[in-house]
Amino acid sequence: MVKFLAKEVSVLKRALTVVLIVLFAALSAAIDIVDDLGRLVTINEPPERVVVASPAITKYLEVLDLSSRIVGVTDWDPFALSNEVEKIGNLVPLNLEKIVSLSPDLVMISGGFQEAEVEKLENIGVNTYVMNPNSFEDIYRNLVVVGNIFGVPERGKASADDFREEVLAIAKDSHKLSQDEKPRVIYIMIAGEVSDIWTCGTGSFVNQAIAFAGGANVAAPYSGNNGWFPVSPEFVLNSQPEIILVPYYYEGGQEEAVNMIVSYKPFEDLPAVKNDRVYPLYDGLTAYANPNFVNLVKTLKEFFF
Amino acid sequence: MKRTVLFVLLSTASILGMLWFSSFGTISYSLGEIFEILIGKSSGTASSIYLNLRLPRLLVAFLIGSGLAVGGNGLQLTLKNPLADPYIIGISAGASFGAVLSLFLREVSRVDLNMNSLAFAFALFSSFLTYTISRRGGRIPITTLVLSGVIVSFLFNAAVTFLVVFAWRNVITLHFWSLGSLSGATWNDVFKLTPVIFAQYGIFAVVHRKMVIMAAGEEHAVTVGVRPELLKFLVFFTVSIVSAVAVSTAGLIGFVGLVIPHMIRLAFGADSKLNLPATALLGGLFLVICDTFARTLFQPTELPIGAVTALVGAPVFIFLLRSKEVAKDG
Repeated sequence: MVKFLAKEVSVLKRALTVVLIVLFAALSAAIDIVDDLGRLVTINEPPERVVVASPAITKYLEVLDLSSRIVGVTDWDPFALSNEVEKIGNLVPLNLEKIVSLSPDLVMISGGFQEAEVEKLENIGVNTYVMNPNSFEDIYRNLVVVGNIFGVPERGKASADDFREEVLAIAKDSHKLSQDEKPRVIYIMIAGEVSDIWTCGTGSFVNQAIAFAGGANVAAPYSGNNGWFPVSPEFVLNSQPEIILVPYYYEGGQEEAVNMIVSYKPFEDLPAVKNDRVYPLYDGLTAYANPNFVNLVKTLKEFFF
Repeated sequence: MKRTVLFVLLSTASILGMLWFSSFGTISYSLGEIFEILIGKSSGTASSIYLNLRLPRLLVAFLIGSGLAVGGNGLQLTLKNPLADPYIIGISAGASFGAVLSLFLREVSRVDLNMNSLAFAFALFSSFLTYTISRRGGRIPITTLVLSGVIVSFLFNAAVTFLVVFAWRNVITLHFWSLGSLSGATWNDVFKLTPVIFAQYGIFAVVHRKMVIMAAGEEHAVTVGVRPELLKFLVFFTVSIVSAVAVSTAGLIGFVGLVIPHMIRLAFGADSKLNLPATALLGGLFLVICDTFARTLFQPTELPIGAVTALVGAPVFIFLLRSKEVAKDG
């Protein structure tokens, strides 16, 4: 009788062990990640349905071969042009009803001006991850993080390593240049009139790309919100850039973008204008800090040398 | 009698209309579905969207709309000025400055002040600022009030821009504060707004007769025992609280307080007992309609609701400014 009971107990013990192991495995599948707003986000299992509420983030999922998990993007996302995916409207204010109707496991969103939207998503209990990459280092780290969120940590790490390798190869090459060999560069984003200029200094990833590509950004000693700040045409004249970079927004818009600068009377004696070194740069490369950074650095390198 | 019938029609239309408007949006519901959701016979994503997003948003729109309309009505009567409105006379701009200032202090100086109370303080300050600037020997000429309001609004909007740029915030955040949105309204907002809106309604219901007497002229009011300064203070104080809560919930929403009281006065008259409930009802209904447009016109993209109300309200404002009553006084 006692022996019989002992058997029962041992069976029970074994069952309990199995239950505990299963429970432990289930619990350890959940990960906690601190996002770019400093929020602790719990991912119970790799999300299958993701709403990408900012076009800045989409590229990360594409690079990591996770596009199939995307169920919704904003109206401004080029991803929607080539993929069957729901559009969720503007970045601000978010259409919460639309997002909830897609029943996402995770919503990915930028910081900055979208910060106020994060609270709204939290209020209605939608799991939200904020990603606000702003530099080469951030891009590297976020590739690893996104890989972890989606349960493909190796893929994330490998992709991040490749990315770093590629960029640093170019950067090391530029490193050999002496100070005089580096062209003086300015990035000019025009808001309407040529006199209304925004440029990027320290803190911006475009500034970083210019440095990696071997240019000397004349605005580098200055900074602003995310590294961006407005300057007057006087600043441009005073810094005498040898190369001017201007963004264009659609295929075929290159000539118009360059013309705005070249035809602006006060700029006609600038070295960059006289030597025909005003280059159009596709806005898609400079708008978001994403793995396209490699192409940005490569393009700049071609312009510079 | 005719007015009572009109009022009954209006209130029935409001409730049915609101139910009907709530069926439009990213997801459309039939009235039957809404009924099933409301009595709890339905579950799933669609029902949770309706109960947690659509319904609180609808109620917030109604509450803010009726609060602003009742507040505008009070201002118009006590200031004896057909163009008075929380938005026009700068109360809303003051409130939005207070709200942004609280955000600014929290981020930059790590001082945590309650957004609503700071919004209220500046709403009150700006209303008295406008009042003081526009007062000419005991009365407030219509155009002077409007001009002072514009100046005070400019002042506070500039201060908001300054704060936003100074804190290195993106300008789009600013955009939200200058043209409000009801996106993200929750049940908490409903619970926060309800007591404030009802308190204003209660206070104005008590002093409604006195406000109507004030509208007939301050001198006349004094002779029948109304204390004009006290009444004005009470009205400014109440409207400031309502504007502050409205602004910190939904940003700047203009012209509701201007358009609705005029329509109601045309239909019911200023001294009717039904004036106040009708103003509250129509104000709420108006904002619900505007929000429905904001939600559905370019869906899934949402418009700021302030843009919709301004589109409707600005022409009415121009019409009123050109009307005989104002032309005579200005």
